[in-house]
Amino acid sequence: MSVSAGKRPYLMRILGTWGVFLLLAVLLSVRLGTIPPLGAFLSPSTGYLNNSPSATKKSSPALMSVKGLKKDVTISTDIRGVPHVSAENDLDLAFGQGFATARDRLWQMELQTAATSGRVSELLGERAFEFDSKQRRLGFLAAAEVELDFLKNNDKEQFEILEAYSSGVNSYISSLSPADFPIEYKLLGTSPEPWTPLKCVLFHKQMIWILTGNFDDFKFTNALQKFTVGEMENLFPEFYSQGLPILDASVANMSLISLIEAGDGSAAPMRLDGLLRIGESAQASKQEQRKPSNGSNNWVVDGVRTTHGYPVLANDPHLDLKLPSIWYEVQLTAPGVNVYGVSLPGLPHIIIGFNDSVSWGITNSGVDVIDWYAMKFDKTKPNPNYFYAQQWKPSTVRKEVIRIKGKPARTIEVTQTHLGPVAQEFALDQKSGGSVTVPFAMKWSGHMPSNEFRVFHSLNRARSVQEMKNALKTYQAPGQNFVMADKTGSIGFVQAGRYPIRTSGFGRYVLDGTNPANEWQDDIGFGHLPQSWSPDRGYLFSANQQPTRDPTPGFASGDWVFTSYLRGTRIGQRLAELTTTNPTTISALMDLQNDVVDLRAKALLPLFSQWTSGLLKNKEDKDILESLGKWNMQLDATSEHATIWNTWWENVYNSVWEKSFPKQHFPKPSEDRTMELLLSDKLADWPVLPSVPAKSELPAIVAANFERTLQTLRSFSKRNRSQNQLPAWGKYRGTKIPHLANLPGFGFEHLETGGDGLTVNATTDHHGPSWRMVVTWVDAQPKAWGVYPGGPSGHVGSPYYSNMIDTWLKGKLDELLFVQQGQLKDSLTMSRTKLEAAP
Amino acid sequence: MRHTMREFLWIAFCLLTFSLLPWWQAVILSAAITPFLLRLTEIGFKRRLLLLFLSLSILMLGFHASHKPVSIAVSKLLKLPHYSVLSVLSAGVFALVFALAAETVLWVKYSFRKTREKLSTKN
Repeated sequence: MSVSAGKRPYLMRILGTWGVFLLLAVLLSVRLGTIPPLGAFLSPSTGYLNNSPSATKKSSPALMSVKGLKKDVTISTDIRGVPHVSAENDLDLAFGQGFATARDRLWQMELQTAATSGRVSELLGERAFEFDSKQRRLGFLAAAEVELDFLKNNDKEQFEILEAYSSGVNSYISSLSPADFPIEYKLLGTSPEPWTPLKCVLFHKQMIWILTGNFDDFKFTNALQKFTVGEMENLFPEFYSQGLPILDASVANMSLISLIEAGDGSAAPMRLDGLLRIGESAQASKQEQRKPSNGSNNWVVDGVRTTHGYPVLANDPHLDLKLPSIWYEVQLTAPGVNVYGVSLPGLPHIIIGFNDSVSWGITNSGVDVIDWYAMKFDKTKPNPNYFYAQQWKPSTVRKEVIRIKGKPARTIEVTQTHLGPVAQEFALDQKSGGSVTVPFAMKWSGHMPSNEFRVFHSLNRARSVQEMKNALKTYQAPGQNFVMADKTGSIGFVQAGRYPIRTSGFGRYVLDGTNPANEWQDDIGFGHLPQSWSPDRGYLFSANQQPTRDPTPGFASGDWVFTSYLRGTRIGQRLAELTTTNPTTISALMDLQNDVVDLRAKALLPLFSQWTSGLLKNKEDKDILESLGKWNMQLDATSEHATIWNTWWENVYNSVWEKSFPKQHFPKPSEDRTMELLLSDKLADWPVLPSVPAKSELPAIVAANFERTLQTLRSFSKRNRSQNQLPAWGKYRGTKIPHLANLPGFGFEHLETGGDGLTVNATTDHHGPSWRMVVTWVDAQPKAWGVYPGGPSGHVGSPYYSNMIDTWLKGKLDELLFVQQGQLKDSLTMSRTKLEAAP
Repeated sequence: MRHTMREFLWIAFCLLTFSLLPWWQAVILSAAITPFLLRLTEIGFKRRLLLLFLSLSILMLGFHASHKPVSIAVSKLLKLPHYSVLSVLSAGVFALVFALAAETVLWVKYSFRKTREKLSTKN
């Protein structure tokens, strides 16, 4: 930049300097692909450094004057980062809950509802278009609109609560400047969108889908091409004869439903000539993949069987582990209500929790509430007609506009039938070669309007088990196993939900959409649902297993076909041991949440060892097998034997079925069923199918897999330069808790955890106890403990983003700071915000 | 005032505005004050760039160290081995912008002066 050199005209230098400056200024101001505008992002005053702990505190000042309140609201945040919202009426309480939730979880709320409503393309651009189209076809947005109308017309109070909650969220949003936006908005270059009651309902729909949605019917229908219905029943029993059900005959208190009119006999599972090619694309496969580990535990022991004389209730729902956590811990206090527990960010009320009189916990019932119907369309008409009951019926077509970031909006059409939306089309292989596309309508209980807001509103205010029972009479979706207790010592269980009665009884296969006999006939009434109230045995529990020993009348099938019943069996056995002879303690019932005893290993390892010992050639392998025999059968994070056994079992399981059930087009018999078959002495029980190995081949398969397992584990140790020859379970399997949008650096990886899907501590590589809670009363005062793998704050820079992970990893619980009366003590308060009602 | 002192004043002004204001406002303000403090010289640009880069690196390191959780997360997101790398990179980018903005203004000042000189010679 020499002035004096002067050989080139200085004008060139001016232009050169300006040019470079302008280029750099433009580059810092624009988004380049996924890279945000770096100028604003890196700037200390507006960028990500603003999303720091001090900034998080600053976003919630001591006094704020806000519109939309009738009276003042106080939000006291305790030393664990948990907000305690105190108001003088229900609407202001909902406002405060909305405000506090938005303060901590705004981005999470936005992303989750964008995903449910099929609006991710607005944030991420065209790459999310396929996902959004699928979401629109599944009809969540349409169903949410119907449900909101239903609330508006049938429960004005709950509708107003949703409005108040939304006002609270919006009040927080309006207090933000762009510099205060959560970091994810800065990365995407977007700003928060106003919250609406519709978004609350959308989130409710999303939860129903997470817990009940699946595409299993297609896979089962494919399997019918290989096996008869009888063989399918053998490989995939709808109800197992082993393991402990939720209710045995001695505790069940429901009246049996009088079933089921046979109809005209024409109802039947559909047989399709050709393979439905499901889950072909990576995106579709992700959405259509069943997650058998979605499950939870809960149990309750009455006061007679505890040393301190009050009931103890424990709950740990297992879900995909994400940051921020799916749960948001909060206490809500107003005249007539003082409740503590976890809420879902985006919904008012507490979903799992307790007040000074009652406590309740939930697990997923898993009852099949979704059916798929193959439809026959005449597409020559503008609104395609579909064939039903021997005549053509007109469908309706809903136009869905999908806005795409940086591109013009695109419109898709969703055809609606009386059965439900045409949500899927699959290519069906033809014998002549090629394929035809078959449309399928989805009948799903989640599409029906319901009012769970009222149910949880009532549960939050209940004073007894009887009041909770009454509240649950109108509960519809998602079907849940509620356990409950009250201060007087009563306990209860009900598998609440709206479950259909199918005339055909075939809920697990694709059905013919032209035949009315295949339709749902009615709902199972509350009195017929599996339930039990203060049984003599003194305890109740559920772990997503089948509700009763014999098929529950009216229930077609459920997730328990795939989810291991061994978890529930272990809980039942332990509760019996703990309570039968002497009263049990709170700590014993807490410890049960961390139980990692592997009942499958207990059952199968002796048999596998017997088959394998004579077939091993290598002495080192023989020694390892021998040491495995001395293992305590616990899937501890530090156990090498746990790694050997689990990897061995997984290899054997895959070897047995890989030829019969290849790829994603077919279901695979559950691990429990495989165990039952392997243990069976009766050769006839082993499936005699060409592609399944003969029973005589099994010892060789099991031994070969043992050697393969050791090779795999030795290579793993070598690769990781481990001093141990074989890796410990926590190191080998590990658990990750990724960020909700999978942003690297915003989540945790390689957390060393014990347990697995079949143990009471059901932590897997990405899934596990998303909230552990234990509640009781001591001297008539509620006392509770809890933890979740995350933290109250959704801001990655906050110390409360992940402050509970360490406690969770250790299997410990924090004492919950339930404020009985007045305000949270100053010594336990991190910050206090008063929302002043603006005139 | 001595030249070095004026240079340090300019750098301090850059750091202050950069810490408090959106980056483009900081750049405009520091550019605006430039003609009163700096001169266009042979070594001026390189020296200012270097000094500014070093000062900004220290400032950014301080910011990042005091906001470690978010700095570490963002560094991982950008696949950088450590947040100090992020500090140095961002200091480099912003030092260049500030120095170029200042240089641009100095060139304008220089052009005006030249034009004025030419006009006065003609007259």
